Amino acid sequence: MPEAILIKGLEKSYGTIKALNGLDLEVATGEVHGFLGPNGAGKTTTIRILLGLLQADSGSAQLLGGDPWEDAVGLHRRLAYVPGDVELWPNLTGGQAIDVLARLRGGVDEKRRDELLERFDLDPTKKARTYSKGNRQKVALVAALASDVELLLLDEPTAGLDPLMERVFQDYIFQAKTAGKTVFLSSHILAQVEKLCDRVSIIRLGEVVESGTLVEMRHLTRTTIEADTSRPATGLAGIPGVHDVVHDNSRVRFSVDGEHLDGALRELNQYGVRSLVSHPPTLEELMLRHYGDEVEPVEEVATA
Amino acid sequence: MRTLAGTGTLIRFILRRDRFRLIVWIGAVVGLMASFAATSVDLFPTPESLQARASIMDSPIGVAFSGPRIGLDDYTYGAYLSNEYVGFLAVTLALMSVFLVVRNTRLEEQTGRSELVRANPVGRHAPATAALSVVVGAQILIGVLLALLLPGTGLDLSVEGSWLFSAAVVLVGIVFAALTLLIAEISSHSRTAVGYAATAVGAAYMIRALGDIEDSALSMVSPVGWAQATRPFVDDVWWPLLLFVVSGVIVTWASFVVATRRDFGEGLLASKPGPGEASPSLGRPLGLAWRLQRGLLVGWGVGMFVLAATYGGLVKEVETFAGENPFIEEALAAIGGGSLAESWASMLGFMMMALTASFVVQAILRLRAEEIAHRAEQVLATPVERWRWMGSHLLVAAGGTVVIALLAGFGFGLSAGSATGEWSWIGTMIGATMSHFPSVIFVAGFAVALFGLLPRLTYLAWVLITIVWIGWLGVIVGLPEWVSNLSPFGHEALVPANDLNLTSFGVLSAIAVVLVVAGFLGFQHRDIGTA
Repeated sequence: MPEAILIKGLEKSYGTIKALNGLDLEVATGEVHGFLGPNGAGKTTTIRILLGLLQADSGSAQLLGGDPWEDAVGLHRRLAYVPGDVELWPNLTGGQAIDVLARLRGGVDEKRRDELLERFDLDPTKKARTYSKGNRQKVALVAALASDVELLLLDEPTAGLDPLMERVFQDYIFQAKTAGKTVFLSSHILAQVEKLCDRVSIIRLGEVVESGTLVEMRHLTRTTIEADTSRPATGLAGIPGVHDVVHDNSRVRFSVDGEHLDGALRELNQYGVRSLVSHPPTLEELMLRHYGDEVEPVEEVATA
Repeated sequence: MRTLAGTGTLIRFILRRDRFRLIVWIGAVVGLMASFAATSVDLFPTPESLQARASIMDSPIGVAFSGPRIGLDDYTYGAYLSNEYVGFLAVTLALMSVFLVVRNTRLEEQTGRSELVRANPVGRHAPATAALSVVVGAQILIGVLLALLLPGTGLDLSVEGSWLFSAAVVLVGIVFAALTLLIAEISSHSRTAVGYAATAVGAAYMIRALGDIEDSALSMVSPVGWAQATRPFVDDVWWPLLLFVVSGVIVTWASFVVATRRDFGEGLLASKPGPGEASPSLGRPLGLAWRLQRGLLVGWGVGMFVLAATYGGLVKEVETFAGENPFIEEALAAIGGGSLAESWASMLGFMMMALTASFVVQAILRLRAEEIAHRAEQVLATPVERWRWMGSHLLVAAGGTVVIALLAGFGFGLSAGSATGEWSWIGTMIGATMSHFPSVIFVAGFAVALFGLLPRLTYLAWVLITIVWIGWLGVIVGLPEWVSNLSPFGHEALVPANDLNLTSFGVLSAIAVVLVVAGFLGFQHRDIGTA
């Protein structure tokens, strides 16, 4: 089966601002793919090009085997989209907006819509202008999930949802995956991507800097270890692949590259390990590797 | 007084935030009134011309649009201002209060900004009190400026009358500021609040109009009626001002009571729930476009019909009206035609179609509004072709234009026919409005082309509308020909006073079609979004 999304060398500028700078992206059919990056990295621009709303300056993009600019209408029959900032028609009710979007997409499964309304706890009789950001997002989610499509394009779909609704959202994403649908989920919520996604692409300044399963990415990074030993573990700093060693009496904390984990543990054993905690790199750490250079130190604020 | 803590700071904040808005309102109202007063000498150079004006103001239509026949027997300039400007100014000032109060109370609360403010040591009533204080202050300033300016306009206006005139109109503004505050407390949304409050202003004017036509006490139900009951410059009656003070205090007190009883962010009236499901037509692009535009269309249609009927009713009076006023007679004569009534009809036909052109720009630019609000993006992410989405909105706009233009011609003709007994006016006037149809679709085509090709410059459509209106004024005050030729209307003949110019009819229509096609092609190939 061909890839659901295949992007090569995509470039897009707005005037002098370069939004996409040679972006490559592959999303296999049937996978849940996380598209992770900070604000302004180019996530929304990528999605809008995939929707045929924007035309790329150069590079190629394929969506469900078609050209998103030329075949926009045909492709839109097979996908549903939830924008990051959902704006609704203020005079229509939430229920009307759901029906409008779902029917324009080709029809609404009423039973499923009602089920979604109940699970997401949304009152469809309220005028859209009275909805909070979270409720507007629910409207777009219900409309998208009520449609029977092959691909879900979701642009930070849960930014305004509370943790309970986030769970409901996750249930439906798992359900879509089981049904063989492809889900493309842009996000900067790391926990969400960790929980849901088969593969992740990290985007930074208009380029995908890393792509793969979380397991693959962990190979490329370090495991953090905290241990309490009977004698101070003085020899650790000389072991290859070990970084950032911090001693605190009998306690030691360090990080180690994946391939040198074995050697580091052998060394540690010699000091009589009394307790040991290790954790795999979180996505925060993965991200910091790529964006670490952007993190400004928090300045001391003089107290008034 | 803890509920008022922070009021002073908030007053300074509103003054800072709305400084331009306030200056523009105050400047515009005072400037307009001063210029109206100053030009009355040119409009009515002799006591006879003023007396002729008075005879028009004695008719029911005259009363509806002016006042309760104040000083008609001896129509001095003072009586003229008293009779014709108190109601007009009172409504303007009341609307100013409506917009400013809602903006600084309910809208702030709805957007969550006042939540930030209220989280500080700010009392419950402080935001409302601050908003009311600023608006009342602005009204008082307008009143003082008017009272100082009026005696100097050379219209022989007494100082006492000037102060009473100013106090009466400004107090209408203040009472509506208090009423708007109450409405803003009750309704949970700024749009609803503005809607209810503006309706109350309109109702106040209508009630006094009905009361005055019948010469009944009904007028005294309306604050606009109270203001006119002071009869400044004619009788100088001061006691009706007490009604404003008493009602203002009661309404303000009521709004404070409501504010104490409701929750933050809510109103007393919850927003009405609507249908939980969409009707089948809504799920199609055309149905959606109709639903989104129908309010605009119905509003314009009703307004146009009322306006057309009002002016149509004057065809019979226009001979006397113009005969006594050389300025108007000259302007109408310049238009040409067999009779002054025909010239009048030509001028109004032009005006009503210029209004129709304003409607069509507003309707077409809804496309851009949908795009900027990112709603277009959601629709275009479904299997709806770009041309279909755009075409649906344009089809509704086009249908609306035809209906509004027909209502203009029909309304004028119907009213002219019932006044004169000559029912041929209906056909004549529909022909007159339709003769300007190419100009309207030219303006529409310009807006469509901007939307499709230069979406960031869509405001240029409003520039064209301004040019159209300048051209219309040019017909009346006689501006040079090249000025009116900037507007498409300037290339059309004024029907029915003149014969239809078939060449310009064809050329303007053809250009309009080209512009629309260019707009469609441009939209097919451009990026969607605000950038």
